[in-house]
Formats: sequence, structure tokens, C-alpha cells
Amino acid sequence: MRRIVRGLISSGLPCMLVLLSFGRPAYAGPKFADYPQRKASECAFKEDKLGLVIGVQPVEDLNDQKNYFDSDLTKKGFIPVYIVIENQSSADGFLFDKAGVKIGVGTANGSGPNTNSKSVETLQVVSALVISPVGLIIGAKLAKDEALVQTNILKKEVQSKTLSPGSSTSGFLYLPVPKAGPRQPIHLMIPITRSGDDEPFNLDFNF
Amino acid sequence: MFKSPVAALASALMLLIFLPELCLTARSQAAPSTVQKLNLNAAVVVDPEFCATKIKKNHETFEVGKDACEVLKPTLEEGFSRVTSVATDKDAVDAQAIIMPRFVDVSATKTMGAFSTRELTVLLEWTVKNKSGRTGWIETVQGSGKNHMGNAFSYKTDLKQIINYAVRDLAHKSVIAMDASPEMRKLEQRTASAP
Repeated sequence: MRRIVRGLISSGLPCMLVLLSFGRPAYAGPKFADYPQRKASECAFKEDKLGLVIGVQPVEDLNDQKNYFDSDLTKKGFIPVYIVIENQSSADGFLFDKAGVKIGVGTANGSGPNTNSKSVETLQVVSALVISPVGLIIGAKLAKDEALVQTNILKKEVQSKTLSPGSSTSGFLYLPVPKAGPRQPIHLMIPITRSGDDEPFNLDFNF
Repeated sequence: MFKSPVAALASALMLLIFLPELCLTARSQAAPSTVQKLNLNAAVVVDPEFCATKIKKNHETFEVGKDACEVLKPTLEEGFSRVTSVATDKDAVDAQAIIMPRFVDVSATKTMGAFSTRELTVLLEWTVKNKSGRTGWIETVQGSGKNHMGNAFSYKTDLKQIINYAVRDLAHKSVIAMDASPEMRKLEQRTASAP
């Protein structure tokens, strides 16, 4: 009897672990395509000042959202907006602080530098509205998938950065929009500070 | 060495199963890198609120602040000639660079079984100000840690471990980013040439 128990322990347990080990690769989690890197000049909207160029590309197509995020972000109340910031200056560094990004909804007047516009009064700091949809993605998926979707969204998010001469950064901003109904125009204001300056300047986008 | 062929086979199988996990655990720990120290007297601002940072995500709490407060100062000492730890930026009286960390977010994958691995991603934003209080450098650094997540009994220990791996990775990457930054080198030069 003791021999049988010992045999079961020494051979049965490893066999079970082997099965578990082989079982893992059989599970296929969600696949996320990388969003193709694009230059500011290739984006739908582009603004520049003092050698700093920003390109903005909203990703509204639901197939694209499924492909890059494995989630229908619009239905969850967000629109992913790809932004690329290029420092084309040969001498100046620029600071991009994501915490200062502002959004106004229903205030579009055409793209361009717009800091004196009345629409600025309606702008709200995006990070105060919601940092990102990372914590809000809850779907009818397996918990493991859900966590992978969240991690992918977080990794693709654009973050605060210092842009040395010739450098660039890119990523997504997740802007809050109404979950239902047609999307209202969005006014996006991105503050940039030239290294050494006290006050930032803004680049405005309306789409 | 083995009393029976069955025991030998069992040992070989166990090794086969756990070896990748052990390798993964070893890889999760950030390897030290060589950096050229910035010749700056730096003060890192770690207030009690930062040290107590707990980020809740998907019914889990990640106590990232505690580990960060233990790890950041000794790791930053690899990148600066002198580092002091202060509770507020006003306490950084003699500092030439005031370094302020802020947690941005965390995200963790989930596991399907006790022996599968898990990845934790932690984002930390750094703001560096000069003596006059002007921001000279801002950067977001991403640290990640991978580890197996064990079972219900080892969950707390494994969670602490993965947080520690991610925070250590974050700290090392932060020093590398500061060291490689032209703006930080400019601050070093300006400080050296100042009367």
C-alpha cells in the first residue's frame, strides 16, 4: 500500500504538473497590433511653434480600436487620440507635461493656435476628468484577458517627457466622450514648455 | 543519487517544469548598469504620502510607495555624486537638483494557474527642478517585474516580490534615463560654472 502511495506521489504529481505546463501555451490571449508609428506631418492635424511640431490622429474607426486595443473604447466613453511630438529644433529642449493637457467638448472652430479663444474657458484638464480608461475597461471577457487589455492600453498611453533637440515621443491620449450619440467636436490644448522658460505655450487642435 | 528510476524521472520532470520559472524570476530582477555619475548634489523628495502610495486595480492593492521609498535613494546614489532624502522640496536647501517622483499608474496581468507568470507594470513620473525652482527635466519611466504568482497561500509574498522587482527595475531605468539626458548634463554644466 505504501509503495502504491509513494508511486502515485512520485509519478502522478509530476504528470499532473506536466499536463498543466503543456496546457498553458494552448491558451491564447488577446492579440494587440502595434499602432504604426507616423510622423507629425502624416497625421490628420498638425501644428508647430518654435521648432516643436505636434501631430494628432484620432482613432475613431471601431475596427482599428479592436485591432490596436482589443476593445471598443468609444462605447466605453473614450476616444483614443494618437499624438506625436517632434522637437525639430537644433538648440532648444521642450517639456511635455501630460498633466496640463486640456479638453473642451463642443467648441471646435477650426484647427490652429487658439489661446485667446473664448473656448479656452470651457476647457478642462484631462487628467482631472480621468487619468486613463485603464481602470474602466470591464467587458464580458475572461479576467486574464481584461487585465491584458488594460496593460496594453497603459503601455500605449503617451507620457510626460523632456524632448531634447531632434527627439520625439508618441502615444495615445484617451479623451472622454459621451458613450452614446454622435460625437461632439473636441478642442484639445497641449501645453509645451521650452526648456529654460517659466511659462508654457499651447498648441490647439479642433476635430 | 536516486533510489528508483521513478524518483529520477520525477526529479527530471520537476526540473523541466520549474527551470523556466526560475530563469524568469532571475530575469525579472534589474541588472545593474554602468552610469557616469552626474556631479550634482541632489535631493529626492519622498514625502509620507508618496511612501504610503497604494494603487488599487481590479480588486487588488499594489503597495508601491513603501518599496519605492526604500529603493529610490540608494539607487539614485548610483547616478549622482550626492543624494539626500527630504520630505518636501522646501527642505532641499543645499540641493542643486530637486528630484520629485510621482506614481502615474500600475497594471498587472492575471494568471490562470499557480505556476503561470505574471507581469506588473509601474509608471513613475520624475520632475527635476533646479535651485531656483525651474523645471528642467520631466520624464515618465516604466518599470516591470515578472514572477510566478503561486497559490492562495503564497499570494501575499509573491505580490510583494513582483512589486519589488518592478520598483527596482523602475529605479534603475530612472538612473539610466537621468544619466543619458542632455538636459541633466546641461544642469550639471551650469551648476559647475555658477559662482
